[in-house]
Amino acid sequence: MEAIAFIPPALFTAARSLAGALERCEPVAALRAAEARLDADEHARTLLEDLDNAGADLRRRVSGSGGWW
Amino acid sequence: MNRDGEMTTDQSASAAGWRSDVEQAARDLAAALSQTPEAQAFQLAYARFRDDEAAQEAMLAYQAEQRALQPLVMLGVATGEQRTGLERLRQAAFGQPSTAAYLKAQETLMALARAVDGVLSEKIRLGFAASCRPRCCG
Repeated sequence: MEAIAFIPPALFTAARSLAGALERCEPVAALRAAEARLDADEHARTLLEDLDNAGADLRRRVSGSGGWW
Repeated sequence: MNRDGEMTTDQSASAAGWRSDVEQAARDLAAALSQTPEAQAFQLAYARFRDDEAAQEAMLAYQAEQRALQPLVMLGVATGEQRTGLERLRQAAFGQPSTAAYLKAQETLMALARAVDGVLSEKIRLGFAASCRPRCCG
């Protein structure tokens, strides 16, 4: 994979401009608001963490037994 | 939204506003990208590849054989001779100068696009290109 070390200034400006427009749009604003609500909801975060742990545990058990059957 | 779940006039106007801003900014980005040396080199390399009959024939021959052998390869029953023949066709196709130049130009342009995605994603704190892909099931 070839690394690009330099983005032409006009392209960089256009990318930043699109990012700015996206930051101001309603779906992204709604996403940020939902993220803030989730961050503030300890019960929801605990449930998500439990789900994550249960999924990891399940994957460990399946790989340990060599499969589902 | 009103009680029927429809947008109010103000909400419609607001949505139209940000959509128009995003669309214009996306068009500007596409125009800026198309003006880069990487994009122009890619266009040129693609035109050369498209117009190179030998390269097209070699690629079509490889793809046809690949399609024909795919089921056998997946089942693990392709013979060594078949695999060798396919590899020979692959080398013939990808070894064509115009094909190699086209693939190189494509890779360079993709690297630039990834760098732009990095700028966008960092600013909006969201994987931009990844968010553009269709997804299902979370």
